[in-house]
Amino acid sequence: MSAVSLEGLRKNFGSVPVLDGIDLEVPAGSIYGLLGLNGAGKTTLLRLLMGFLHPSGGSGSVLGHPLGRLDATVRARMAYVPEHPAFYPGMRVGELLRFVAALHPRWDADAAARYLDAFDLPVGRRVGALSTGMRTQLALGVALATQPELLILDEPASGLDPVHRRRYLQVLLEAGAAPDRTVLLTSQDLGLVERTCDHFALIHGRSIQVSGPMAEILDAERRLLISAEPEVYEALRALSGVRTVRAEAHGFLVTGAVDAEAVRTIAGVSDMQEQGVSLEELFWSYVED
Amino acid sequence: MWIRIDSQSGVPIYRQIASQIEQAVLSGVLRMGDKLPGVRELAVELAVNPATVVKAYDELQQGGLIEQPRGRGTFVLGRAVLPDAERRRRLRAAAQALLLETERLGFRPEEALVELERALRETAQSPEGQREEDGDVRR
Repeated sequence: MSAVSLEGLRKNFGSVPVLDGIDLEVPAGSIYGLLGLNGAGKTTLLRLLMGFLHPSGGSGSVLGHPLGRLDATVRARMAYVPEHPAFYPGMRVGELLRFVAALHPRWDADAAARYLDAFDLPVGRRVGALSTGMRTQLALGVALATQPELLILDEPASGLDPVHRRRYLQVLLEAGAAPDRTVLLTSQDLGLVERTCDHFALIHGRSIQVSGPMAEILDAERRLLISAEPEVYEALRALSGVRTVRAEAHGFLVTGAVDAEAVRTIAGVSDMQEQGVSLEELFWSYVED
Repeated sequence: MWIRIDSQSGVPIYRQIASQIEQAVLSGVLRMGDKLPGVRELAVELAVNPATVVKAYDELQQGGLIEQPRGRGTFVLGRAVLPDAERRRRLRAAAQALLLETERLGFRPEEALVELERALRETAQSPEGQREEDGDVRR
């Protein structure tokens, strides 16, 4: 079962294509990270999923309902936390909670109290007087108290100091571990995504370059520093799974889901150092051309 | 928590967790019968995805280092349980790495043997090595 399923999704702003042929399956129950450079279209994709924007083409579904026709019942099962959450600054934290509670059919007041406590948020303080970090935590707590089946977070934990960030991630992971909850987030912080997400997708050049289970993809990925004759270039390029081959002084730097044993059998290869890659290195090998 | 996660290392996080627990078992920090934290507990403590901890524990169980009886938790079994074939495979891999390094440094392969014998003599003389030998005899 997929919480989100997209096929050939397109979005143009005027005549400018932003997303072109997005295929994406977000498994129900996963914590899914969406990666991409600034302006890659991550936020646009999230806004399409929430129904704030309408697709220019392609199709998709969210929680089993076709995209573009999400009624209030489906919307109530989703929560969206933008990068800079906007609250009424004059409201006190407690008033804000009562305000949302009255509006939301799935509001869990006990859960809300628990999150306030976990984040140490002062009920009596005006929202406008909270620090950036506190506002970020408040936004997550409010979103979680609506018991969303699909929680969408745009750049979570940005602007948090290390202590608040850790607490934030712990709360997010604990909430995300609920079996009927899917979390979809975007982040520029690749370390955060590698830690917290079990799946990821990378948007670059208006489409998805790679997507799937984090551990599986990173396990297969290699960085090989090969000492070899220049003639070996073509043979390396032709190997299955190779993504980049860069010439070095007396050899090559090869990246991709490459079988190191296959490299050893190529005539002219004299030595090889094999390394795994972090999500950050994988990211760079896709976006740095 | 003594387990550390390094996001820059290029080593998958589940393997970082598994190898640190393995090292702790090999060095005796963790011993047979010790209980490891539950999956949720360790995931929250380290701020990593629970699936990552599950994968680390599964790998350790396959290696025979821990057992996970249903619903009772996760326990250390100890190094003697590592299957013979796996112990042999690791020893062989270490030997090949030594040979490769010997070659890279420009020595003839036989030099590796000379150094191994020297290391053996030195280990046998130190009290540290004595204890190692005792342990092996008992096993």
